[in-house]
Order: sequence, then C-alpha cells, then structure tokens
Amino acid sequence: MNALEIRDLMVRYGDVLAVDRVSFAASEGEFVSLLGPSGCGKTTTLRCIAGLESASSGEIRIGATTVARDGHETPPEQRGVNMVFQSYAVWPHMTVFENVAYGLRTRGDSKAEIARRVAETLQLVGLSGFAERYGTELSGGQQQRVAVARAVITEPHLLLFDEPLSNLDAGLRERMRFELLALQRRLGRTSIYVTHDQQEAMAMSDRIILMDHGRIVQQGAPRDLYERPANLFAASFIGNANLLTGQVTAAHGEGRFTVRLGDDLELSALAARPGWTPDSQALVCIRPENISLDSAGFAATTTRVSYLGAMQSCEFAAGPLTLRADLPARTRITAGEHVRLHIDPASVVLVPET
Amino acid sequence: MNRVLLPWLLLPLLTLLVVVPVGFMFLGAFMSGALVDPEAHLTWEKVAAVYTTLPYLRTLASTLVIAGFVAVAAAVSGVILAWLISRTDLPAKATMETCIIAPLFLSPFVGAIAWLVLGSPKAGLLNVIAATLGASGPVINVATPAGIVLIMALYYVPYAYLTVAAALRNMDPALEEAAYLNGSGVFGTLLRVTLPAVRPSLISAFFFVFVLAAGTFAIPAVLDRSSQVRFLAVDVFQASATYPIDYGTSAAIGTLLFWISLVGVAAYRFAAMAARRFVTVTARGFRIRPVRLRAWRLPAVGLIAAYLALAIVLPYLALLYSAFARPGSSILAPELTLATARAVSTSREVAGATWNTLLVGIITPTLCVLLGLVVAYAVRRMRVRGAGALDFITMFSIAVPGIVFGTGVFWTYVLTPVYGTVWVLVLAFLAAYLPFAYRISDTALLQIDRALEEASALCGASHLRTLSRITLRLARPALLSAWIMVFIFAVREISAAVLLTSSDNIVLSVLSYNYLDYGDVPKAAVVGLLQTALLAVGVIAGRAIFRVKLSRQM
Repeated sequence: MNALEIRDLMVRYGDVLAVDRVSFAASEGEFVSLLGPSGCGKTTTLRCIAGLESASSGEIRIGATTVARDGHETPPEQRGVNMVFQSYAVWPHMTVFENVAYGLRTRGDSKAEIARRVAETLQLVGLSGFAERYGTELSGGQQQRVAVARAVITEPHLLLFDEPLSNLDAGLRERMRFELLALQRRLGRTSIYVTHDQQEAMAMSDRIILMDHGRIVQQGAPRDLYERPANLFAASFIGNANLLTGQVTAAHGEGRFTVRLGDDLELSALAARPGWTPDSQALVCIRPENISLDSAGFAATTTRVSYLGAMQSCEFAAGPLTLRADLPARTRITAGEHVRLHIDPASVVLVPET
Repeated sequence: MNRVLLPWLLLPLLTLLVVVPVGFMFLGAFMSGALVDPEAHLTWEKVAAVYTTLPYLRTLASTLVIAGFVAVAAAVSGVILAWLISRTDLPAKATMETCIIAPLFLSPFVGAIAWLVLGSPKAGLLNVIAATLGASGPVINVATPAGIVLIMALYYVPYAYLTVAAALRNMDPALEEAAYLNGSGVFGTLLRVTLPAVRPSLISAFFFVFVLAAGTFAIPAVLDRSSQVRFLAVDVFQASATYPIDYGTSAAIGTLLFWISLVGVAAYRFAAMAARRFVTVTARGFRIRPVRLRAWRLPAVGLIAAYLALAIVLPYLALLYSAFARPGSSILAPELTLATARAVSTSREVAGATWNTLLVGIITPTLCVLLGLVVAYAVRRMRVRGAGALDFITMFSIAVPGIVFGTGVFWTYVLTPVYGTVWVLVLAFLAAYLPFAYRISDTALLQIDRALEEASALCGASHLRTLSRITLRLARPALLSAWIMVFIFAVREISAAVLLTSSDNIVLSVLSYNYLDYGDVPKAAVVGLLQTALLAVGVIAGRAIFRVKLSRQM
C-alpha cells in the first residue's frame, strides 16, 4: 500500500487552474520532491495534501484513508500529517519546549511522557539546552530545527516540507540538506518536499516530481531527470544544458540516432522516447560537463572563459553553434584560442519540445 | 461558528447598532415633534429651514471655516513636528514624541475648561497676570473664532502628526539620499522630494482633522459661553436642550453635520489611498543620515516644549489653581483651600457620575473589542459571505460625529426602557468606536502569519484550540491597546453623552459641563481633574500590563 496516493488533483482559483490533473504516489519511507519554478502548483499540491487548501476535484489518500474526494475533505488536524513551513512558523509567544510539546499537549499525553519525548526530540535535532528559549531568540537555523522537531514529534504518517531551506544562507542551507535527509532516513517517515532549488531536490530525493504550469512534466530518480529530460522545460530547468536545434540524419534502432548540428557537426545521440524519423527536427541536449578538449575533435574558437575556482565555464563558437562547456580548472585556456572539442556520445540526448 | 450563519447574526446586529440610529435621526428631522408627542407628524418644515435659511447657513459657513483653519493649522504643525522627529538630530526623540502625542490621552473637553480659566477675556488667569504686568485690556480671548481654532488645533495636532510621521517613516530613504547626491541641500530636498512624497498623507491628515473638528461639540461649547461663534454641533445640542426645545430641528442640523462628515471622510479615504502608493519601504536596516539642526536645535526643542506647555502644562496648572486656590487670591502665590474638593468628594452626584463613568468605561471597550474582533475574524480569516457588507457597516460610523450619533440614538431608543440608563450610552459609544476596535483587530489578525495557525492545525489542534492558544494569544497586545484606546474615548466622551443624559446615567464629563453651565468653574475643574485621573490610571495600568506581555513578544 502506498503511504500517499493522489489521483487527478485539480485546484481552480476562479479562472486560473493552479493544479491540473496531478496524480502521483509515494511509497512507505520514500523521500519525494515536488520541484518546479514559482507558480508551478507544487506548494498548492502540498497544501492540498495537508488539508490547508481545498481540492476542486480529485482524490487524496493517506495510507488507507481517503482524506479528500468530491469536495469532502478531512480537516488538517485529523489527517495525521505534519509540516515544516517556509517561514518556520515557530510560535513567538511560546518557548522552544512549548512549541515542540504543542502537538502532544493537544492530544492530551501525560506530563511525564511529554517531557521525555520533547527532550528526546530536541536532542534528535540538536537543540538540547534550548528548551526554555523563546522562538524569536533563536537564529534562522535553530528556528528551522524547532519547526522540524515540532513536526516529527507527532509521528505523522506524512512529513511535509514547504521550501524549508529557502530562508537560510547558502552554507547553512547545504548543511541542513544532509541533516534533514539523515533525520528522515533515521525516522523512516514518508516525506514530501517542495522546493524550487534543483540541486536541493537532486541531493535529497529518492524521486523528483517536476512540475510546470500546474502539471507534472516528468517524474523519476534524480539521475533519470538529469540524463533523460522528458522535454525542453525539463532539460532547461534542471542543470545548465546546451539546447541546440539539430536534424536527425539516421535512425539506428534501440533509441540510437545520428543528428547533425549546425553545418556539418554529426553526433550520435540517444532518445528517451521513440518517434524520431530521419530528416525530422530535434532539440539536442548536451550537458556542459560532457564537452572536453580533444585533439581528435571538431574545431572551435574560444569566445569566453570564466574561471570559477573548481572549474572554468567556457563558451565556444563552432561554425554557427555556440556551446558552453565546463572544463577542469587546471586547463590553460584563453579567449580567442582555437581548440578542438569532443562531445561524449553517451550524453547527447534528443528532447521533444513539449 | 458557521461561515454562512455568522453573517446572518452579525449583519442585523451591526445594522441595529450603526445604521438604525442614523436612519432614526433622518426620520426625526422630518418630524414636527419628539416621538413621545402624540401629535407629532411628518413635516418638511425643519429640514427646509435648516438647509435653506440664513441663520443655519451662517452656522454652516462658520463651522466649515473654523474646521478648515483647524485642519490647516494641525496639518502644518503635524508636518513640521513629524519632520523634526523623523529626519533631524533632535535630542531625546522618544521623549519628544511622547510629548507630541500625549494630548491624545487627555480630554479636549477638560482642556477647553482649562483654557476658559486661562483665557477668558476678563477673569482669565493669563489676562489677569498680563494686567498686573501693565497690559491694558485682555491679551488673549478664547471666546473668539481665533481662540476656538487655536485650542482645537492644539488638541488635534497629534492626529495629523501620526499620519504624516507614518508616511515619513515608510518612505524609502534612498529617495532623499538621491536628492542629496544630485546636489540638493537640506532645504531643497525637503521642498522638492520629501514634502511632495508625503503630500497625499498631508491631505489625508487635513481631512481627518477637518472631520474631527467639524463635529466637535465640547471645545466651542465650553470656550464660547455666550454662543457668539456659531457651530453646528453646538446648535444640535442647544436645539434639543435649551428652551424652546425643538428635537426636529436638532435632528435636521444633525443630518447637515452628517453630510459634511461623509464628504470629509470620503475625501480622507481617497487621499489615504493615494498615500499608500508612496509607501516604498522594504525591510532595510539602514536609516537616512539625520539632518543636523545645529543652531536650530534649541528653537526646535523650544517649539515642542511650547506645545507641551500650551496643551498640557498650563491647562492643568490652571485647573489645579481653579480647584484648590481660594477665589480672588494671588495667582502666583495662591492661598490654598480644599473647600471645593471636599464639596465635590462628598457629593452624591459626583459619586454616582464616577460610578457611571467607570461602568461605561469598562463595558464599552470590552464589548467593542469583542465585537470588532469577531467581525475582523469573520471578514479576514473566515472570509464569510457578505464580508464586504460587514466591513462597510462596521467602518461606517467613522463618518458619524459623536453628537450625530447621540441624536440618532436618542430618536431610536427614546421610547424604550433602555433610554435614560447607562446602557443607552454604551449603545451610542459602542457604535461610535467600533471602527477603531475593528481596525486594530483587523491589523492584528493581518500581521499574524497564517502559517502560525496552520502549524497548530497540523499538530492536531481543533479550530477553537488554535483560536485560543495561537491567534488570540498573538493578537492580545493589539487587542489590549484597542481596549485602552476605547476606554479613553468612552471615559472622556461628552458630545453623545450630553444629549442622552438623565439623572440616572450622568457621567463625569456631563456633570462637569453642568457645573460649568451653572457658572461653577471650580467644581467643573475638580470633576475634570477627577476624570483625568481616571484616564491616567487606565493608561498607566494598561501600559504596565503591556510591558509584561510585550517583553515576551519582542
């Protein structure tokens, strides 16, 4: 049985369709990210799961219980889910202890039990010793931990995260990623994680659900999304790909093709979906890290070099083509230099426009 | 509570409270006599007389002119003070600001009594002192249009100050910094950038004070005992309280005042809307470098000190003198007497009025904040059907001056057993002050991040538990300040109270006015001081409670 199952979820605000026939499921213990640009419907979907937003139609099941169907909605407090908010929503009039204990007090646990569980949970998130502080006396990272502690202590069927790291500065954000993931693995709670940060989604998720304009564009493991983008949007949103228009010149079966870029650059390419025929136009996705210098390659002129420390981001002109490549930092290269480039054939992917 | 049911409960209640009295006033304007009079019938006569004949039109003109001058004076002072506080290196700014807004917490009516003591042409203390110093004739006469304008402006400056100061605070400092970098000096920047940017808020302050001033009863009624200066609010009272009593004409003048207010409030809202466009603030940590006043520092401090002296210090010294000095004794070294104080403190009338004032002063804010909160919650959080109508009716009474409400409530309840009890005052005050309680509650709810309530629901808390443990706790400081604000209003209110008074529901302000009417200024002063003491206790107690709660909030 799936921990969460959503079927044909629609949310309409007046004439605007915020969520359009979204269906997906999450299995027990899975970490699923909803990824997409702002306004893509990911947060609305999450809030529907929580019961904070009403579905216009569709069905949501948490475990064996149907919590939303045909306008009948279980109120959020009865769904057995909990959420970490973007703003943390740490109650400023309560201490850390009171914040974390709130859910247990609400369901009427004994005092001793509450004290024990809160201490345990604060230890889990690394906030032992902060119990008597008020929420507003904490740093952003600490408030974040309070929010996490408050959410996990009620042992929810689903843990929901609404862009929890977006208010932290870059260094802390990266550290919290791994902490959150480690915590989720330890507790084994099914988690739905909303983010617009593709790196965050890639680093944390078992599975990414990529959304745009209220619809699911593609779902799969991070590696699938990166290596086999389903369309132009997926290819451009995840990673910083070269997207070039090419001409299919030959089909070799099993999803292997030859494409021509520009005037005379012939490359072998893979396609996730069938349907390409020779002479058809195709969008070709080439990741910048798959382009390298190779004396046996095709000729190009270096037009720009940005040294970034760990690597250098370069731009090349090859006939009418412009290609971006990430080269190792130790490679000596200057703008204007004539070079020869090689593209790893296993990483050239044909992508449909839509 | 149900989203559909709640408006059906609130709409009739608010209509009864706010709309019906205004409707009854209009009905009264077309009646030949009071509703108790069996021979009363519908007639055009009174309305026609008030709207078309000269004595009333002259009163209308003088009301508009006086209110206009008051509004200009308050707005100009407001903008100067606001600029000094928010843009210069004035010393002890917090204290200075407290001095500027302190008159808000006091009663303009009591201030007017004090200025009567200070500045009446013959016996006024200032004139007596001037005469002993060799001046011939009075140096100040408050019983003139100029005197009335001056005293009103004194008490309405804080309103203008607060409006303009908010606009200055919310202005992006980069606007002024850009002017400096483009070569404008302090004065050029002020003239070409700062003032134009706050112009809409200045206009909205003008109309706010204009509406307040046009509906003022206490100050002209007290200062000009012989009613040489005509004023609509005073005429509303005199038509219904002095011989020959004419309730119809009183109501008809009330409707005239109502229209002025309505137009003024419409203009105010329009200007306030325009002012919002200039709010460019983002949460930025830096503040514009203050303008150095240098040699102007002393005059600036002097200006604020003078304001404090005129609005508070001199008036209360005068009241104390009037209350405790033996009549006829020297002003600078008076002989003290407790005779008046003793007479007042043993008076059963005063005890009754104190009790009534307390009763009204506690019941009104409690009901008012409760109702304001329920409406705000229904409109803002539950998004009930008819939210727009609820909002409109609740805010409607901001356009109704106190004396107009008094007239309306009189016509509405005169035939009911409520009339003549303190409850009729509560009904009038509740309606008049509901917009303030509602606005503050609304802002408080608006400032509570919805996620704070949603987090509670996701922790398993019911709607009611979330409301009591999260929403109300977080709104509590704002609700308390709303309570204190309405408490102040209710304790010092006179214009509606004076129309609805009876021997059973007389409050301190009305009692003081009555003493004044009998010519007993010392007793009026003592009762005024008593009322001020009551206000002070309320404000100080409230502040003490606040501090406790706020230290946790901050």
